[in-house]
Amino acid sequence: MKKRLAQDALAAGHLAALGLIGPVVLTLLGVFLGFGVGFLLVLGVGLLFLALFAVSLPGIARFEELRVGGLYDFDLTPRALRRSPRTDWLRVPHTLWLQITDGRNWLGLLHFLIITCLGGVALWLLGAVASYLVYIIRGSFAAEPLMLPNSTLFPPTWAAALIGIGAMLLCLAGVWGLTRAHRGISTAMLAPSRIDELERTVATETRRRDDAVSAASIERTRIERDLHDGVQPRLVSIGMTLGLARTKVESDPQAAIGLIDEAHTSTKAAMTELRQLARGFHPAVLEDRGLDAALSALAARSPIPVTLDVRAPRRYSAQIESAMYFAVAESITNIAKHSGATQCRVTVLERPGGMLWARIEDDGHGGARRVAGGGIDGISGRIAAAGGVLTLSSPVGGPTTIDVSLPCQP
Amino acid sequence: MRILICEDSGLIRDGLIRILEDSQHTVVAALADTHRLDDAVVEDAPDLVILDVRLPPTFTDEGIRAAIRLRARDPRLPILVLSQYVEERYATDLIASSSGGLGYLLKDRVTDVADFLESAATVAAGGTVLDPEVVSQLLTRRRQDSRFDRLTDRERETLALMAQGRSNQAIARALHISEGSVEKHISAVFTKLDLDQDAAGNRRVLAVLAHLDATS
Repeated sequence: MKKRLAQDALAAGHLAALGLIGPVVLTLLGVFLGFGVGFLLVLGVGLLFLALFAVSLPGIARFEELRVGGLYDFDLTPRALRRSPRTDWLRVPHTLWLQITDGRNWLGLLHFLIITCLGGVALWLLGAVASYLVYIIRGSFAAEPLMLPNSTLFPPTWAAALIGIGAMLLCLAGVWGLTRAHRGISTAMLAPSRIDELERTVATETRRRDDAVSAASIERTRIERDLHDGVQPRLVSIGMTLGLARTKVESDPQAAIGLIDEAHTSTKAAMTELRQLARGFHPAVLEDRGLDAALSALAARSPIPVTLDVRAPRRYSAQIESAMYFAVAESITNIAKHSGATQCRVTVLERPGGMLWARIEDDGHGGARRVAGGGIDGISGRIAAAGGVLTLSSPVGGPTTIDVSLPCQP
Repeated sequence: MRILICEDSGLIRDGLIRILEDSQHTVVAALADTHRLDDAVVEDAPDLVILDVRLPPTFTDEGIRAAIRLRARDPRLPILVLSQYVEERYATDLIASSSGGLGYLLKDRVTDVADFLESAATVAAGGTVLDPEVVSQLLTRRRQDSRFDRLTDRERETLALMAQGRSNQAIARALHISEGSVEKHISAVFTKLDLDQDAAGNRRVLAVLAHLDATS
């Protein structure tokens, strides 16, 4: 309620302003158009004016959209100008032509015209209010009845103040009526339609789904690579060692025993590698005990010292916990591998209003970039898939800071 | 025999070196990528090159491309390619570009030390050795070919072993029949598939496969 009143009061100001400058702008536009058409045959001078017109038209439309969007809180994302797809010398004229033929530009202009007219009336009413104010002051102390502005009445002095106030109120009511009219007209003409909103939602959701899909496929590639690089060669090597041992069982039993021992050790190493790999996919401690415990385990295993400050004692959805855990895990791995840092600080806390926030900072040499298909991009995709946002600050020379925020049920 | 190895996994590289040197072969060079491969082949003149398919930097088909390149320079250089998975496309690429002295094996085969050494010797002597997995995939693809229906089960088995590059003696051993029976089966196979009877040795492997390829 208060918001609407504030908006209406502001609208009154807009009306007055437009009432003043609107006519100037419209006249100028008319001049461009008129001269443009009129001087068309005079050495093409007219074309210059038409070009000016074609440039001003979208400017006015944009201005109206932004003004109204700001005034009434419409969610109007700035609409891109229609650009010519041509690449030859006709590109500029074609773009200008596209502006003239774009219906939305004309809609914006019409809106501007209407509001200017209303603004003119508002200005007149505001002027009248001022004149009534003067009348009240003068009329109450005058010797004889003064004429009521904008009428042919001569009220008696004792009634001057009352009638003056009444007239003022009438005018102010008129202004208020105009602001309501402005709101109604703007809503009808320029407010984003339900279709626009739905299109925007679809675009956002499509982007999120694509992020999720690509994050999943990056994960899969990483799993495949880890298995290929880690486990397979280990098994082949064990196979070779045992195969060789087999050939030596009779001829050189001592050597065979040595080889069998070697294969035995290798097998145990393979089990450790598999366990670490599995932990990379699905850490049991995260599922059983939550973020605090899992991040502590992560920090304990980290090759560089990690200072942990976790203030998120409760459990969140599996997707949120998983996304946050892996964001921190990947970040620490990246820090250890690339940043040359001596230590790292991880802070996790729940912000009021349903947001889980984390900051990972290190004192390394900075310069980290978000490269397509790279580590930070992967984390970012995973966070985006969970509905969150990742921001990176990494000036060359350091320090590097990664902020992650994820929406969570409060 | 002088052997050059090109394999990116340290574990497997060391294992191969050990197996080969244990059998009195000399490993003249063990490279981790194709960077210096061409120069090393020229400098060290190995009798056999063992190559992994997946190598840095892209880990896709560097090995195959290197093999084709080496063969272009010296068509008689024996090359044994080791692969993680059976990639039929790579097998046919290799076969198309060569004329003997070629092997394509799964890495798993190196764990059968005796068989692996025998395959290496066959390739180095100019023979062709194909992993049974590769062969069975190639043959499966062509099962729709009606001419295969003309073959008896025995003849099909003989064809598969032949395509793997085994000698008549090895085929006889594997199927527990006499060499004479093997020759009879082979003759029948060649006739029923309309193949050239004169093909011998490793060329018959290539003949079979080229034939299978061309007529699929």
